[in-house]
Amino acid sequence: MQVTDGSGYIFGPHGLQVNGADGKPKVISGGGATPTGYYLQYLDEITQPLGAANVGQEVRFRTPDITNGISMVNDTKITFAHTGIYNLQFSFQFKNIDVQDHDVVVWLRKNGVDVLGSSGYVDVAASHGGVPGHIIVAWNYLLDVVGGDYYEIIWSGTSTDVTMEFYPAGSPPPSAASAILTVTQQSGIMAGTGMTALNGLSADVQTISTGTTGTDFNVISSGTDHQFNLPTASALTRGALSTTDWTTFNDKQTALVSGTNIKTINGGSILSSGNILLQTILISGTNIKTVNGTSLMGSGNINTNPRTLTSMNGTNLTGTANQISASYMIPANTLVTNNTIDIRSLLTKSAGSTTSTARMYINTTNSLTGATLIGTAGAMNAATYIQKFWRSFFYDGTNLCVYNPANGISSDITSGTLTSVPFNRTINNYLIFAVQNGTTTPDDLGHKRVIVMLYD
Amino acid sequence: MISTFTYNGIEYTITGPIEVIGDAQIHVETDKGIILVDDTMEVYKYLIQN
Repeated sequence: MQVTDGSGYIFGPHGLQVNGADGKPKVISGGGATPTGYYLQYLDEITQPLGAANVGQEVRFRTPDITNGISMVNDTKITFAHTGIYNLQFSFQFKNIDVQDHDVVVWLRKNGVDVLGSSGYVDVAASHGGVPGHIIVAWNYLLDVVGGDYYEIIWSGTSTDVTMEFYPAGSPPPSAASAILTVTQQSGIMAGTGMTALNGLSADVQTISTGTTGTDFNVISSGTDHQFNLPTASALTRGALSTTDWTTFNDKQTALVSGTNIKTINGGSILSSGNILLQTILISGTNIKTVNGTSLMGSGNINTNPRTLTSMNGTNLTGTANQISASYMIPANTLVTNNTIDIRSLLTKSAGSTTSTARMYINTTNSLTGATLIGTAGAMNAATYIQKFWRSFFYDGTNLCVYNPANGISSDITSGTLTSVPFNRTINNYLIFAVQNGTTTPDDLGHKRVIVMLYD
Repeated sequence: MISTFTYNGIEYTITGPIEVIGDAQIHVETDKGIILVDDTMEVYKYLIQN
């Protein structure tokens, strides 16, 4: 676009212009070209000796010329700020002062790593007639660059007599640089046509990084970087699970199922709400009763004195035969010497017309046949429907000492002669309670209740 | 009249009277106490005859 004000001056794309005599515009100010790509030109005006034979060393470029988007770092690193395809062109002035030829090798190194296939071998002629050998070496590389990459040019020689030589101005030539480097952008992302904006950032080379900032997943774009933040989850922060928390979750108890991984109490689940009352610790004398001062806790048997061997009901029977109404087996070895068996039987009948009789026997079988009589109750006449039949038997180690068994009387408390009945304690013995009615019906005498106590 | 009898390996010596207490039962006074003898015992018939 051109702007004219009638004065003949024009504000054109190259600055302030004026039409020349040939009718073409001439730039008279502001004629600097607007950069349309990235480029660099450096040279070196100092002789670069070879530190050692056959050891690669970086070519140095210490004199800047023009640059845009490419920089020289530490005199050796050609550093690209922008992605693109670049042409790298160099020329090196070698000199050989030895009287024999020597080889030099030049190659490319990218980001500190030698580039395969980039080497070039050059023969530098020997000094001859007192004139050093000279050769200028030049070629180019086409580079596929990502912003941030850097390249170096490395060289080595078979002798330190070879130098990358700077020649001062002579007559007539001007000085000769030891090294010249030109880098120009070829294609790809040209200046001004690359990335224009990403999440508000306009740099054409941008980076992505990670972080944990914030209380939820977020992206922070600042400068040339887009930071993706995934914070660690907590009570107040939504985010990634930490390794520690993952381990905690992974170690959690699986679902609880009564009877599977939860015990039950008496078949009832202990899951759900509510309280389960448990017995407090049991302490004898505190919440456990004692017997004669002895704790009920622990194993084994506590012999009370007296103790009840049986408390049972007999059967009321009709008939005039002497019949078993009740019986109880005294297990072998129950009695020991000086024990006393106290027997109380409550005799009843629901009807009576004649006298009925009740007896106690002892036998080694539960049968009256061959049984030994050890007590006879008082005769129960027609009008007597209830009577207590009470006997005490002392065991002296051989016999049961009993009141005269044939003498019918309700108890042996105040009277009686003593009768000894042999008793073998080492076998089972049966106490047999018999009844006999005077007539067939309706008399029905029975040992309604029999209690056998053992006294130590 | 017999004066002794054996039952279940035990010898009894009759020391006193015999009392009939039922149709087939008697009490016999022995040195080991008063024994109930019934008609299932061999000695019963000897004792009841006297």
